[in-house]
Amino acid sequence: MSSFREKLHRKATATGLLSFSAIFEAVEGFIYGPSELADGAPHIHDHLEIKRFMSMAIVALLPTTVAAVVFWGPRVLLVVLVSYLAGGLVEVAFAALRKRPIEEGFLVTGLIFPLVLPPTVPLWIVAVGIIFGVFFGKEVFGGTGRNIFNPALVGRLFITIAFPKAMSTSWQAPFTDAITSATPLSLYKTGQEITPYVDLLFGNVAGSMGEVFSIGIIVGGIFLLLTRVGNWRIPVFYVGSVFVLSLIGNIFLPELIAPPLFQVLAGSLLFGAFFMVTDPVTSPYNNESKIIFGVFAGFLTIVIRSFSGYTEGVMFSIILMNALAPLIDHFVMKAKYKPLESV
Amino acid sequence: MSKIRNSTRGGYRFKNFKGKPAAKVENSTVPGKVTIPLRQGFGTEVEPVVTVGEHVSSGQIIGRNDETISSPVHASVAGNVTDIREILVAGDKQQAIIIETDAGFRFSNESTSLLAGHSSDWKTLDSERLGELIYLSGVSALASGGIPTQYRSSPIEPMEVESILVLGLEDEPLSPSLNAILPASRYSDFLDGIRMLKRVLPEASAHIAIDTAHKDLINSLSQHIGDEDEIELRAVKGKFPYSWEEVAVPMVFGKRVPSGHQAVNIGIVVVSVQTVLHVFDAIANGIPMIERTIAMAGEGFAEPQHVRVPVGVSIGELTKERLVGRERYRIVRDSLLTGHAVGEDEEPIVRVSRALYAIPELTFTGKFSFMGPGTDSDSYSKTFIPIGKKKIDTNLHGEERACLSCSFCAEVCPAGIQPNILHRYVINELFSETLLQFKIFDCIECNLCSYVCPSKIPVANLMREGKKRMTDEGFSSHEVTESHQKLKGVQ
Repeated sequence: MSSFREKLHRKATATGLLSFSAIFEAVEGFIYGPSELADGAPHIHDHLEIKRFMSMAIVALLPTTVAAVVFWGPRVLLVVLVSYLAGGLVEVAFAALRKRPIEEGFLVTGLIFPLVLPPTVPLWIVAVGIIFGVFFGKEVFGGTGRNIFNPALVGRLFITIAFPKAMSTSWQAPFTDAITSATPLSLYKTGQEITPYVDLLFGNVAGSMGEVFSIGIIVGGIFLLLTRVGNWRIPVFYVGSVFVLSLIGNIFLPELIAPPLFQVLAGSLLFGAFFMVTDPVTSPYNNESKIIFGVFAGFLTIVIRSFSGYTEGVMFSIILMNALAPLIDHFVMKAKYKPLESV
Repeated sequence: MSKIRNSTRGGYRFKNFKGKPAAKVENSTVPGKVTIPLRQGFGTEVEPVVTVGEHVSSGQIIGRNDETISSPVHASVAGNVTDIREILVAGDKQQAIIIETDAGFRFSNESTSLLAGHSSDWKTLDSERLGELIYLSGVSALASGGIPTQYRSSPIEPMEVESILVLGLEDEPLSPSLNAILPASRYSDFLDGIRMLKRVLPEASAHIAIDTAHKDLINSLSQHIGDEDEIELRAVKGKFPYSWEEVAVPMVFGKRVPSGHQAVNIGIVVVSVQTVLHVFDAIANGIPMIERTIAMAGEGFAEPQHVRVPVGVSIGELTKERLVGRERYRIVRDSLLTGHAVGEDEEPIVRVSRALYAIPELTFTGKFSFMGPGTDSDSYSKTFIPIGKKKIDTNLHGEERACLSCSFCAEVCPAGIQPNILHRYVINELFSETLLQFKIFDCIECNLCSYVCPSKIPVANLMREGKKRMTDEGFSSHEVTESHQKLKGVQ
């Protein structure tokens, strides 16, 4: 250990300020890397750690984040900053209170959250949303690993309901200042209008900041699945079930149910499928459950998009499925492990 | 015939690490002193049959008990018995005989007591004699449940053995090299060894499973195997822990080893390639278990390679000339995943030793190490770009964090259970029928779950703890099934 580091370490522990030492520990681990050794067998360990695990998710989010900055200018970065600062405050406070290390999972939540907001979102709403999301979505359940709902989604859902005007009517297409209420999904809902697929792919449509640039989301998402940080089952079955269900539905109810490729590319489906349902904490444990989760989420998405007052159903369906995940696991485990024979 | 399986669920392929042992074998020098534990390999501790002060020759039986399930142990050097006392071997207390060398080890001395009745023309020997040589040589202790002979070397009888499985896998990160253990010059000895085992275990079919990485070896062996041999040869992926009988037996035979039992209990004897060569050496050349070829691998050794060593040599004496430096390295016996770290350098090599690993105790992994490309990092995930040889050390490579349920542990689990779920029950002390139902006792303690965990949770330790607590609470590890009645060698 270098002497500078030692001095800092002494200072940090001597102050007695819990929040300070939590931050110090996080920064120390961040810069100097892990120093602990294996205690007994196994004597060796995989080099993947949670910091890198979460960093991979951030790397996967980079294409769409960069696109957002290009589309809507540097204000996007400001939104991201507010999200990190406000949410980080809650995170650090709880880490200090629990005397636990700061969990790196927040680094992903703090970036996902601004990306699912409309580009015109007021900064104070960003702060309110992320604070609510981290507090009620994660910390009240006991922190990372124990939360039932995706914290970013909890925050998003809260501000959608609390501030409906700011959240669902003031959209903005890239490179424009004009405020519109028309997203590709709402255009279909009102007049069965299909936005050109090229626009949907390149993100030339109104929508949440990180959700329009489909190509970037797909590239980042595939990267996430290839690194094994995201399990492929839920995204594949989620998108697959949306595709198949809308393929069938579009034949019978074309005025309500949009065609499959449009369903996949419009709205937040791809973003949700690659970056939200891949959150291992809030998705089921079993491989079989993951498949059920994906199929059901797809079904709910189509139902909400087509038959409800809302134009978008991804957020609701994921949060509903988050709640059902433990139940699905329960039944899958029951089916997988037969009850013991009585002796 | 059904399709031959070369893989099974779970497991992880460790490959391309720094410090891999070169495929050559060096003879070690004669140690000044050897410590011969009275229990080495399978069986109970035997009784010393020599007394302090007595002179012994190398190869002489110095411990034996024909009444208990055990195999004799031998003096590996000629010399005087100076002490019989309790020592520690890999965390296990046991009695050992200490011999101060005066003459020499077999390499330099012609006076080794060879086993009576051995013959290079072994086909003329009857199977009784073959069994006797396997028992008296101590080779019978090398299988996990013993090699059955007419003596009490195993809980089952020779006639009860249905199959012999010979495993040649390099499934550990720095495994001993098959090319060193089984050079081309010994192919025919190796196959003879299997033929000998088939004579001793007349009802048994013979199967060899070789690492898929050794295509040449598989081809050469298949040319040496005659049609009349009835030896099945197959390639098996060298994933860890496929060399464990709990995994290998279901993979090869489609029969599971009931939890709490061994392969011998279902009539299968599992041996390593080196054990088969020892069988040959005992029967054809009369050599008892006084030497062993082990790998000395890892960056801690100046020249990682294989060394033929006398049984009983202390690890300190064996390693002192070969280590780059003792302080900065951890020396681990036999397996980096499940082996014991050597605490005292006095600990001896035993006849079932396979390897010594010396790996750096790395306390500093480099600034911002989690952000680098990881050109020398090993990971189950694909989050690194290992283009060169991967480094291996004792660092945790992370800090302990909450379980995210990434399911890596369940994906690699060779027992097909879900440590990500089970370990939560243990942490919350929920010891009930549910854990039994979720098959916690199927855990074979291979430690792979702890290896892959990105949250650095000691998952395997929690599983062990869970099994222990469950047993304490009165839940049994022994499967209650119909086949239980048919298990062999179980009272």
